[in-house]
Amino acid sequence: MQPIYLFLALLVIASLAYIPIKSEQILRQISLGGAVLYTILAGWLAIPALFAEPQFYSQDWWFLDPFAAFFLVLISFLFLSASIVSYRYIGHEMHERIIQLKQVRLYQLSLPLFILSMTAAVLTNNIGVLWVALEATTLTTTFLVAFYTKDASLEAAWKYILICSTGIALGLLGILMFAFAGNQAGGLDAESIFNLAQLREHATTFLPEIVRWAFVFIFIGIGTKVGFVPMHTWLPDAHSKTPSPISGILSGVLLNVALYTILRFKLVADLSLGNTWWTERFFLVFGVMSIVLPAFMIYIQRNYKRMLAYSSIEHMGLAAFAIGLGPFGVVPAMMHLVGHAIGKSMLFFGSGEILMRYKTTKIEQVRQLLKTSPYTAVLFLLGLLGLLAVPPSALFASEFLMIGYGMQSQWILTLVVLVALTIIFVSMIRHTLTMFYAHDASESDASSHMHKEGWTLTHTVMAAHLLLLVVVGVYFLTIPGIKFMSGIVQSISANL
Amino acid sequence: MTSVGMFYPLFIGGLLFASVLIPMILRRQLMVRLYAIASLCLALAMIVTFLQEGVTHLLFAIGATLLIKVFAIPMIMEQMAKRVGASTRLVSKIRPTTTLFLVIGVLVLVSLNSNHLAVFATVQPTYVLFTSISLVLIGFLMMVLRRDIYSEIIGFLTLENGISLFSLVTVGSGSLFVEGGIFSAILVGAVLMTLLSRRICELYGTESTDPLRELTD
Amino acid sequence: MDITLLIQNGIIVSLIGTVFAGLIGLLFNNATGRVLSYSLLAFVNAIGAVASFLFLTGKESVSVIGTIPFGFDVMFRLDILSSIFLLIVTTISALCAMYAIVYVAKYEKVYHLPSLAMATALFIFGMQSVLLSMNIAGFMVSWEIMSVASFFLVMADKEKASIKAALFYLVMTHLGAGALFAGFFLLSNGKLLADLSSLAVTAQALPPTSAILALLLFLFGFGSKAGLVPFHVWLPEAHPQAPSHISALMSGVMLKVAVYGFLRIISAFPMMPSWFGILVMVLGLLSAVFGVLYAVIETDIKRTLAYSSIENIGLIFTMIGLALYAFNNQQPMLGELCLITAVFHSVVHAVFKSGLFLTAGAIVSETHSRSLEAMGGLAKRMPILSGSFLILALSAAALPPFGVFYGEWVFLQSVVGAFFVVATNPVFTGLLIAALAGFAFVGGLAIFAMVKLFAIACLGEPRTEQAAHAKDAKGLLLTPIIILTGLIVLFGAFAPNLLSILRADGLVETQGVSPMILVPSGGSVTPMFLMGLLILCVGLVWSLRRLFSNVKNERPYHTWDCGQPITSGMEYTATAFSAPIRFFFRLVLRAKKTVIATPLLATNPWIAKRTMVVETNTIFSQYMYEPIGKGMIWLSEKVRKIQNGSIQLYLALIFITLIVALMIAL
Repeated sequence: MQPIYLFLALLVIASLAYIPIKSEQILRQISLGGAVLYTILAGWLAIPALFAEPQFYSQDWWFLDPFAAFFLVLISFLFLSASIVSYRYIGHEMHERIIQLKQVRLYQLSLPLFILSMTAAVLTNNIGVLWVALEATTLTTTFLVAFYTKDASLEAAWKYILICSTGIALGLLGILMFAFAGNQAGGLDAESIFNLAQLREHATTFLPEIVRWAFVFIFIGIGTKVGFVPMHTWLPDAHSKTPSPISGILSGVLLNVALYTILRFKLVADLSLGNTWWTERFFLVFGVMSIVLPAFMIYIQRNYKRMLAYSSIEHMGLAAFAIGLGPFGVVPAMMHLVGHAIGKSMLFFGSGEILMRYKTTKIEQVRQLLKTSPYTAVLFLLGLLGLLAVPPSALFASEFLMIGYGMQSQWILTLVVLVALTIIFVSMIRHTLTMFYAHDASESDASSHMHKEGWTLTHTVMAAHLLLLVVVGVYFLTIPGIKFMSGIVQSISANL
Repeated sequence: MTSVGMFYPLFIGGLLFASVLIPMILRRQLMVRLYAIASLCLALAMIVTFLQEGVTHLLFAIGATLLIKVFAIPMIMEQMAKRVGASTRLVSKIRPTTTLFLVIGVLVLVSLNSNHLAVFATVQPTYVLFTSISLVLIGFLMMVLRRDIYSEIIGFLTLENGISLFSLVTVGSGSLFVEGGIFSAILVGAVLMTLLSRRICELYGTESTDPLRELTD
Repeated sequence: MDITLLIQNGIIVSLIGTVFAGLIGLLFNNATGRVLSYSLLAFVNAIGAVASFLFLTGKESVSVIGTIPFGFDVMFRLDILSSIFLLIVTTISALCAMYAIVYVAKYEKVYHLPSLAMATALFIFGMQSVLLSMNIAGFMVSWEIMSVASFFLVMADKEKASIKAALFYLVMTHLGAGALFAGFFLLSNGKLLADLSSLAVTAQALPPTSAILALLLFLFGFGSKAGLVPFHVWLPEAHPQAPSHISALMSGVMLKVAVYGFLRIISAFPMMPSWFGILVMVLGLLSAVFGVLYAVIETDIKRTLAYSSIENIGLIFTMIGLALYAFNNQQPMLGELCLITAVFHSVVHAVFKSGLFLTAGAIVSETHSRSLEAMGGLAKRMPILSGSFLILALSAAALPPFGVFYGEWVFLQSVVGAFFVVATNPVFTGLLIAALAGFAFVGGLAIFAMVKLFAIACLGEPRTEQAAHAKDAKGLLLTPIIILTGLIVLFGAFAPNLLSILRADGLVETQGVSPMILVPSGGSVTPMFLMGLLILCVGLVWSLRRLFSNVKNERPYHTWDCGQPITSGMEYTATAFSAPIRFFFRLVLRAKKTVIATPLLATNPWIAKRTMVVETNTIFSQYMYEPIGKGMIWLSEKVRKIQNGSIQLYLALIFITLIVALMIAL
């Protein structure tokens, strides 16, 4: 089972978007089938690798160690969920004539290509290909951000492509500097300076000054894509304007893949510098900033999709904060990424349902949600509670470990983080409850004409996510769970 | 081949000069053409390097630069802009002369910090490194100081020029596949940006970024 | 059968049965399901109560209930301290569940009953597991479950005021939980799954600043949940909004769980700085004083009770604070006595406060308003309920012959006794005087508050239509109240027995010193004797009257009214009754009285319609919470400016970050 098959499968699915069939239902079914195919192939490839010792493929271009396999599993899981939700979502929008057939084709073309670029980023051993894959994720999703031909979407897409491309260009500078470091050290020839595994092998011979420059550029540049504050400004716009299934993937997985990239380079930098605290300072500072700023923005937020987007920024900040605490911190960070992927995507799918019924993303204009859409409302609330680390969710497990670890080394910062988390907890619940009930009699009349919703495909997906969140959460608090996660992060731990 | 080597500083200088001019030009066609000229200088510099050192990988990069950066991108940009009827006059937040002072300030800053950058010194002369960093900063400056979408695209492309010059200085070039990937990424990126800018122009009726400020908070 | 096994099984049944009962209530959305669910809840909690009582009176000091091999060994363990509080939790929960069977049916339209049942069950389950868990992870998980369940319970009636109160409660409880997390991790020095009993060992190795930080964090965490000033502001908002049986659980039981947490954690700090004891005592006295003052001037029946809870928690914390100080200053006997009375007060407060809240619930369900100004004349219309109300209110005012009095009596006796021992230590003496004065002050005002509560609600003429048509509470609504009243009377009669149960070995870490003889048991009169004497006197008067006065020639006549018919408008209102206190303490209470006079006749300005509005805004919410809230909004507005829509600014931000990072890091 080689990675090349995955790429071929995705290319085929993408090209099928433009076959001359007029029925959009068949198109949707094809893409759903494609997602299932991809998930099977990816699972076949990744799941054995999860439990194996770190090993590399014999080829230079691709490798699959447990860490990469872990991300591949996340990508395929979210692709499958989002495809199922897209099936319903796109079908509904076509039915309501909000979009036309050519937009459906665009959607079916972009989504597999997007997944292709993320898969390539995670599986590659070549940092040049890594860069191209990251840039490709931006490019393939630009027209998904601009999906609806409204002015706000175009504005969001413009900012998205410009800011992310600029960030990734700075990342390219960083990558070139790393390659240069390899060049200068003398141990690597012109071919292998772009080879990640080789870079890791020879990292200790690199010049620390060059590596420091390189890491700063990588962190700031690719950190733009992760959404660290203050490079996060594109995120609320982009994640709120895309169709909800895509928002789910963007928030759930793309941010993780960018963080994955930074972590790969962090290992090289740590090996070269001889310690982990120099790089960890970055994660700490930017992590705490990325937790505190969204607290204030969510407090006064008026749009529920933007609220979810700021929450994504905050969760990436939490993961970074955990990484910055010390070598063991990567374990809760990865647990956090898993929990966030499952929880946030579920919330975005739910927000898609709300949008479909109320046709607005403003919190003020959504009322009586509990009465008109009870399933969506309850699932949304439960998912929100899971995201906000109420036990037994996976995020409780990761935050528990994080705070425990944090109080030992950085107690002031940990207390600041706890206060910010409280503000976000209460603000998000407050906004959700505002949508659930009516404020006074006039508002309760306004939504009385809406009929009660039925159970849809999206609800099934949301319920499955919720169940998974709880199961994973319980698993992460057991000794075998912690051991499993520690095994996964071994390939990026410097073991110094 | 030392005679060819004499042209090297000329081309690098030309690249720098053209890129310094770009932020000051307020007419779209001239700006795009200046970018093409800058890319041409870059390509010529690469040819000189190839002739001097015989690195065959560079051939692909040279071809791609010439094709994509000198011809394809400027052509696509102009076509789109004409089709949508964007005005050729561009707006900047500050006057051209102030821009000039700012750019010169940036150049001075880079040269003052050259000891910091000394780590990256290689066989190439120092002015090449200086040029590449300056190009990056000038690109940034353009994106921040201008108020229309075409300038922002050109600013981004100038930034990319600086990065490719940097790669020339430090690494030479990677394998074919990687180079191909990078160039196609730049091409697709520029195309997408241009497509978007066309849609923006159609929707808003102007190429200025002022209406693009609705998404706040 | 082996007692230990019986106890263990009883506790397990109680835990699992609670969750099961909640599930039944959630899944079966009809009357039968509800009755079944709440009955099961009452039954299993009664079993749990019996089990903890058996444990308390038995010989063992520690009993392991069970271990779930969760990778970190969630262990449920019962020891003396937790069994006392478990007894409180299970008993009151059983009674409230009994009450709920009838109560929630009356409010079918207002609450979503299935989720209410599930949330109630989770709330009780959370409280039980907090008491039983013996390591940090289990404690915090249970604490979170308890907090989130109670959040949903507070907003159960979905009114705007309830949601607001619930959100405020959520902020405080979440901040408190964060502080607890932080404190536990500091104390365990990073061992995430540490056992609570081993914390005392690791705490000794802590540097002093960490220890002090941990102490303060715990004070905030447990104090905010218990309602200690100045973290109490959520309490008078949240407790009244919840359904009445939940208010009873929250006031009567959840606050005690917080007290339990505090007691358990201070046992991990054998040597703590003296000033901490003083701090706890000062906060306790402040809470007691503020609580009782606001209880006096409130006109909402449930808010009065909520403030009274704050007052009682203040008294408990004063006792604990004095105990801490005493332990640190070579007065272990005084310390131990104070701890015992603190626990005693917790137990009796749980009983009478839940009784009062259940009564208030019954009254409100008839009069359909929580305001005291809408009640009146209930004694004639709801005689049995008013009788229990009277007894509970008198016990809340700490009057003999009811249980509360004896606890405070022992405490004050110990304080006076210690006075002679430490006469040379000025700080200690000062503290003792402060405690004495505080208790006296609070006691006096508490009588005022309870008289107001009972008199305005039950005596006189009804002030509204609904009050006039109120029907007496019957059946399952009344039974729990009667049981609680009976318990309070029993505690009064058997106070010394209760006190001696509480001083069973292992409650406090004594150094083998036997405490002073507890006066009620060794004194010349026992409480039982007093109660008997009281009943005898009342009975004597009643029978003498019947014998010697001409009962046949008596006829009832309405009150002499000077020819003017007496209406309810002529009665004292709650606002009027508390006016002297409002005036006397006006500097502290800062009540704002607005009188608007609208003349009705153009010719005579004195004939006017007058409206009076009295607003009280507590100084804590004015000077502490509101500025924080305003500060948050101001800060958010400033931060929002980053996202102003200008892409040039966004790019510039990246640029500047890059330059700054390069400058700093390299």
